[in-house]
Amino acid sequence: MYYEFYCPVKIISGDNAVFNLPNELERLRGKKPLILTDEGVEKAGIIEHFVKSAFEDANMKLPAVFDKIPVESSITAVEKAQSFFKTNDCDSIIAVGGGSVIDSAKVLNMLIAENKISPIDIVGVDILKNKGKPFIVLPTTSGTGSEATSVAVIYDENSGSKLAFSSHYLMPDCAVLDPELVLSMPAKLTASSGIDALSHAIEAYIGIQKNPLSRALAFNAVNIILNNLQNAVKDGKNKQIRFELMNASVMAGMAFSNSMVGIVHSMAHAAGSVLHIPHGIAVSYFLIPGLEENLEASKSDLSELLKAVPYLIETRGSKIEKARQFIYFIKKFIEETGRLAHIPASLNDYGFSDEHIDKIVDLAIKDGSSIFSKVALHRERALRMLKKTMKQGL
Amino acid sequence: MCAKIKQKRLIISLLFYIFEKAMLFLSSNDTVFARDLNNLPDGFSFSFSIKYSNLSVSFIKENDVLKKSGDRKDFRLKLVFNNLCSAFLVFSGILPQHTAFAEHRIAIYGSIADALVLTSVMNRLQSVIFPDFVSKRLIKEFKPSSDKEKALFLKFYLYGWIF
Repeated sequence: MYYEFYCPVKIISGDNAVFNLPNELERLRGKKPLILTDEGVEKAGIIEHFVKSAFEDANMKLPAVFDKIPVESSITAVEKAQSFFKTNDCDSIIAVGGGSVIDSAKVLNMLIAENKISPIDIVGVDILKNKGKPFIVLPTTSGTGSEATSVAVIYDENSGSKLAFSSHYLMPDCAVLDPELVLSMPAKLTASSGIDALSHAIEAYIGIQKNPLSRALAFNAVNIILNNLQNAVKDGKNKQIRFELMNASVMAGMAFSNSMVGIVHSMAHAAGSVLHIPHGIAVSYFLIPGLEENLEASKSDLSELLKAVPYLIETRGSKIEKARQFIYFIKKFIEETGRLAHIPASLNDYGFSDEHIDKIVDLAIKDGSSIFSKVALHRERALRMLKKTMKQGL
Repeated sequence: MCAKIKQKRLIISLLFYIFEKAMLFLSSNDTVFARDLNNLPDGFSFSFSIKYSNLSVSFIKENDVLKKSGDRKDFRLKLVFNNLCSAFLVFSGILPQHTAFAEHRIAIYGSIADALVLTSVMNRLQSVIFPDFVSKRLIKEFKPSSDKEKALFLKFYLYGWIF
């Protein structure tokens, strides 16, 4: 019996939360922040209408904006952001965007704290020594949970692989969850990021490092997502539903930051790298095959999760039967959500063919997430999951 | 468990010695171990050490087998246990290595993918050098030792650990 739980991130969630940004920056003693974002967020007017407005309201100087973070965050982008940070003499970081922007900001913050030039110099687990600059995040998607996690992943263009970073020092000081910032998320992104959050919660609930705190968060996140995701896909402008999902996403993030994810994410990372599938969509293909592989080892945990399914009449049966029912419900939920959001039905729609199998399997069995799963991810299991994906896509 | 051990350093030194000998022995005598090891490139160097102590063991892969790394300091991968207790739990076969990672008992300096390869190498080592009743607690999907593995076990404890 042993566990560690760490989440020092202050959460500010709800209507007009973004206008607390200047207060929080001052509380953290940041005076000259760098805003890190991407062109999509910039074009959507989120920086102009919300972030800059918040600073204008507080009669504060408008921050410098670096909006060159690509869809898949990369070493080069982080190095450029570091140069921009230094040139503008910034003293704090505000990340406004999805997982790619937030992960880039985490790595940028650590590069500055550790006084290193390249992210490659700080790759590893629990090796960072210094607390970073004041760091605030404003998620513009509900799914990655990155606003409350101690991990970051960025792409290494030279090796063609993803670099993983894990340290408590990566965590932001504050996460501002304003539902207004996610109202413009398209249905497809709403669905895929919601399923990503669902898989964070489920994998955190059944992993080897599950603990009472992470399980409480994960259980509630599963319940909230199952209650709200399809409504959010149908009615993206409903702020109450968006609010619920932002909370569920951060809860799932806190849970998996402390329990980690498992083989579903290993396969999704690998397929995502090879076929360039958006992460949430890749996760949606592998969630059911991953749960089926965990059925025997995690039957007790999966049967408990059946209680998180909304509107379910009390069921009887053994743990394994309840676990099967839960997986069946999630399968139907994913299929219906995918149908509503017009997500491609299987990996084949992303150009998957036999020639990709070896590469995906090789990458998956070397992916760090699998270590936290109760079942091992060996070649045979990875192949089996890949084959099931062909049949069980959205 | 650890608090009851009075001579931790001595015990861990002994465990490190056995571990080092087993790694060297299996890299040249076990095809399964060698296959897993081949996921690391030639010239790959790595070390296991313990924070706040000078205890460490290190290797380099050369011509597909492991050798002691000598006085090298610049390892491609460093696994650092956060205290003597954590190292004791892992090397004595009480705590699975994957659980030690999950519980933040080991810091990884280098690629997580390489650390994962090393975990599978370690799993193979544990399945050979520990009797089945120990290794079945350490390995996720344990299979009882085959005759070949039992022979390796005997060979290692008869003469493999000496050289």
